[in-house]
Amino acid sequence: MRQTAQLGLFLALALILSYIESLIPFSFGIPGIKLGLPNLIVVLLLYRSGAREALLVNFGRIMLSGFLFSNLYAILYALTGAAFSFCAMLAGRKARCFSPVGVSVLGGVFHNIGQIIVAMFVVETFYVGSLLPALIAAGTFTGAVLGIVAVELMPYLREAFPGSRY
Amino acid sequence: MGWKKSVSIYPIKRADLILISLCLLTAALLSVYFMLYREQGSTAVLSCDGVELSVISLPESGTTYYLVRRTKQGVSVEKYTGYPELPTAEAFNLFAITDGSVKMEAADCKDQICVHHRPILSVGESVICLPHRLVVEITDGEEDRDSILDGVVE
Repeated sequence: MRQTAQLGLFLALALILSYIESLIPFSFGIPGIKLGLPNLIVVLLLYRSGAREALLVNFGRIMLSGFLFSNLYAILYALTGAAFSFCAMLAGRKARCFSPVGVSVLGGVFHNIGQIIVAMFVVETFYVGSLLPALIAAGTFTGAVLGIVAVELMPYLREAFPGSRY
Repeated sequence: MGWKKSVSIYPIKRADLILISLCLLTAALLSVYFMLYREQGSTAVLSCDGVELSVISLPESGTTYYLVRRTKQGVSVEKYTGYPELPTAEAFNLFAITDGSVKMEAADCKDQICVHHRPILSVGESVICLPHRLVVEITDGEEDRDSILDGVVE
């Protein structure tokens, strides 16, 4: 029961971050580049709870923010990007050689790559190579910053929710 | 009380640093590669839903505007020498060709990502409007001749 309440709390937080992200233009004209603020919650949950919980909250977040702030198409794009980034982060977490910073960088880079692959299929153009450097660099930067934020938040979360694993 | 705990040494591991430097190195190498092999394009290809709508040759000087409208009959492209009046009822994209570079001037799409894109001028660069499934790509003009030939052969 307490677990459910906590996940609800994290879902609400992720939703707020989604909204804040939609207010900040950070794309430089390239579809796929995002700040990835909600990724913070996914990283935290991957370390606090587990893969199942992180996936659940991320999926719920995309569905809710999609229906609240955009449309069905945007949900499909976001789901693909999120699937890429989630798989990469899960692999990074399971590899056990990365800290949350590395896991978050993986998430950021793969989210951007996933989004540009979607764009490639939607507009049916196959030359997006020139966008790759910007996508990788932006993903690395935002991922690293959010990873550091996640690391900084962890002690507070441990204090606020004693009994949790992380 | 809790503040002391925040002064933590980041548990950044060696693998993190390797990953970050690998990503930045890849990005740097790719951008150097694209900078070296950059050449000024001669034509802009406009396509929507993967269908090529028009091939526009880029003039050396002057500004021309192209208004793309999605009407009930399909997608139409109109050329203007001055800034045209924007439609209010239909979905549209307006791009300008100035001195060989292409810039998306206005669009009524929701995310406005295409409008924020910087002007493009080298071969291979493109502006994508995902909500309207529209793309403007710069080519060197030779590819199109090939594809026309292919079409004839088929």
